[in-house]
Amino acid sequence: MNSKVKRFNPEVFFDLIVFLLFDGMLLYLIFSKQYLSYVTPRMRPYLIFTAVILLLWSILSLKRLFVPKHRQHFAHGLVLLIPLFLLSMPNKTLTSVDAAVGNVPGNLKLNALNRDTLNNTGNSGIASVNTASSTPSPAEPSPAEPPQVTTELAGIDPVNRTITIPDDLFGKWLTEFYANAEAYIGYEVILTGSVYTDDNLLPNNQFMTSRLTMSCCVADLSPAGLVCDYDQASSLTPNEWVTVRGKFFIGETKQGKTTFKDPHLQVEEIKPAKEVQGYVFF
Amino acid sequence: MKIPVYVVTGFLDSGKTTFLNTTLNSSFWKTKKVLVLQFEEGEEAPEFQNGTCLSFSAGQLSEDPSQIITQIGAHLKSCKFDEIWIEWNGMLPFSTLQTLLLQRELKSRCRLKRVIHTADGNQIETLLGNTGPALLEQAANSDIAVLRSVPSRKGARHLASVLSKISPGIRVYAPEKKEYAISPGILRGEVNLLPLFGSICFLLFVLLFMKRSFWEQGYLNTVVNLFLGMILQAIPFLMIGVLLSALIQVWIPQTLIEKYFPKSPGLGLLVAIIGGFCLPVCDCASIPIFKSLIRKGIPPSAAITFMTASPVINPVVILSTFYAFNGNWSIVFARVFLGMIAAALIGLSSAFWIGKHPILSGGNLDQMLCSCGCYESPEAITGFREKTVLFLRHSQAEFFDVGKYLVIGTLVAACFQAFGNGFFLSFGDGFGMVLSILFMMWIAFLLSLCSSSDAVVARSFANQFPMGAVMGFLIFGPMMDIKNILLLSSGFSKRFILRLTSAVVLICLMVTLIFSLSGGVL
Repeated sequence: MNSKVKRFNPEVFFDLIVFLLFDGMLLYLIFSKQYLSYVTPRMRPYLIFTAVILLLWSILSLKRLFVPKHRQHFAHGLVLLIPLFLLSMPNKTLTSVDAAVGNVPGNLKLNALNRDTLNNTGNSGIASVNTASSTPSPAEPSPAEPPQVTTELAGIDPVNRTITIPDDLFGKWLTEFYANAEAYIGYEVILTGSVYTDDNLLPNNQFMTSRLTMSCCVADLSPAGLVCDYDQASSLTPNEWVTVRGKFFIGETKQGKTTFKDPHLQVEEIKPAKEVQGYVFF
Repeated sequence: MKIPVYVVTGFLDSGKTTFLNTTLNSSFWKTKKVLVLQFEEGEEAPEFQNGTCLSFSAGQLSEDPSQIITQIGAHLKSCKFDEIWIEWNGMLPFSTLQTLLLQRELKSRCRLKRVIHTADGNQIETLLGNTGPALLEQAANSDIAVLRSVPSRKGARHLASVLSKISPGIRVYAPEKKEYAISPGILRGEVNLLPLFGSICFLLFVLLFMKRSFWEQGYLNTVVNLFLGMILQAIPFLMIGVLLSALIQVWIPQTLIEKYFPKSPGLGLLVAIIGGFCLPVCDCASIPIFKSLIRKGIPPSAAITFMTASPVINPVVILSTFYAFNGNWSIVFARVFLGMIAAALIGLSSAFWIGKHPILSGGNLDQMLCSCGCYESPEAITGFREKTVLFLRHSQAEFFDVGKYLVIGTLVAACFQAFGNGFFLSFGDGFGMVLSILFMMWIAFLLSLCSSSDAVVARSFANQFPMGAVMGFLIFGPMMDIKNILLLSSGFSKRFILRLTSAVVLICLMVTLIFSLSGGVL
């Protein structure tokens, strides 16, 4: 008797196809950088790892492709087929419009992520945002000699004291502004973002030129940007994309019962702009 | 047309012959010409009117299978049979039967149609657990199970759930003793809807792909985006989890754990906490690992501490909390410290609530249950190559096992996030402390965020809720949420999940309450 009979095993074939399809999708997402619509660049090695394991599993499936099996199960494939199906649909990245209707966690708050940093430089620790009494002390008074600008980020013109923030460096510049705010006082800054207003958080004469930021995946998207002081802020259309030109200064922002000192722009010019695609990663 | 083959399997004394007798003597089969092949020694041959019976011994099968094939072939040539019924010995591997039926002489004439597993309801669990891989393999290949002497309806339901763990989709019948048979309708089985389902899905796929505007509707687009974001985040972590879990199952011998795992509960907890600290994974990974630790015989208190501690106190979570709260070390310390305390307390308290019932839903069988189709105990396999293959197959089976719950859990959480968040945030600080903490824990439960990303969301709540409540969110969320409950139900009994959840709720509430009453963090 031939003890190694072969018979095509549809279940293993189905598994193999599912693995290869999902693997292909992962590689496509990684190399086209489209994975950035869902997770941060930090996930890249993990996604590559997943793709490698899926490939190993496919090779293993090849070995069993002709081993007969009476009971055939296919439903488990849905674990990968459902995400695969949704990934191949024409999804739009979320915009601050989605954020504005209350769709995305964290959207109702100004991103306080960086806001505290400034306080922190002059303070012993972060004030718990809920403790009303602990209004942070103002940032260190401007020293006689302003700190030197040391950044090597693209977009700065130290001679004319202007910074034109490239769209892909939005997050990096924001971090830099919060870390070394004093150094940029008086600079003319040009940046593009969408108009963020919130009656509870920003007074009538302020809005934020914001982009959606992600720290882990789309589940934690929240708008962050520079607060702009502009007398006609209330006349701006929320979520509209604008390019703002303004003078950098350290201003005050109220959040809840706490007042923060943080980087602001005194608006000199506002122009409508084209929507910038993609999220900002810190 | 090929002759349909029906196989009756089951351990000695399970009543295979009685079953065949009753079935083949019922009115439907009296009109059929049946060839019965009995692979069973010292059994009386079934008695029926219309057909022939051939008996073979296990010795014959192993020494001279080709003669058996020739003999069956000759019978099939000499007479036209409507059906072939095989009584297959409970100790013989099912694959041997498959090999036999796929030999050239038989392959062209007959085709395996249904496998029926017969068993004594009082014994089946013990037998499946103690008689080695052959019986398990038979049960796993069965389409139908027919049980006799089932003590009660509840017992029947329990057995049905055990059997469907071994062979998903199996249909279980427990007929009255005097009618120990099945009706012909059952054998026909369901219509295979898979091709239809597949083509409908494909059509839907094409239609939806063409209809771009459908996907761009606000809420649908948001839910899909949130789901994909969370799933792309979770799948790699789940992958790490199932690989580590399979690694433990295949490569670490039980004796090693018995010898070296600390016997004293205190030291056990310490090891569990250190283990949790060292493992940079989130809750998607810690649950499969928890399952394999329990299977390997680690004391439940230590394993529970590990599972609840690791998603809260590992380095990735520490870092993300640090960034989300702007480098505020006191919040990071509070989270890690309270997480450790709560995990240790949950582990310690398990002695009181765990009870005597088995915590794995496969009961005592769970040791050897794995849908990967390998029924040998991992320790019986020795070669490096074989172990590696087993490791990969185990991990693959576990991935699908747990993955289905992950997909459902993530989908539910994405809906909650898309529709519920504005609602959650509209609550102010009008609550008392206990209610605030409970409310934040409830939100954490519904949102089911990955523990490496929940700190940022917690931060957005920090303006409206007291720090103690936010801490409840940060500690309780990684330990227990919708997704985790679903992940746990891939292997644990409902009773255990319910008790574990209650313990986690109570202890997290207690710990965060004491924390905030004693001053909290500034």
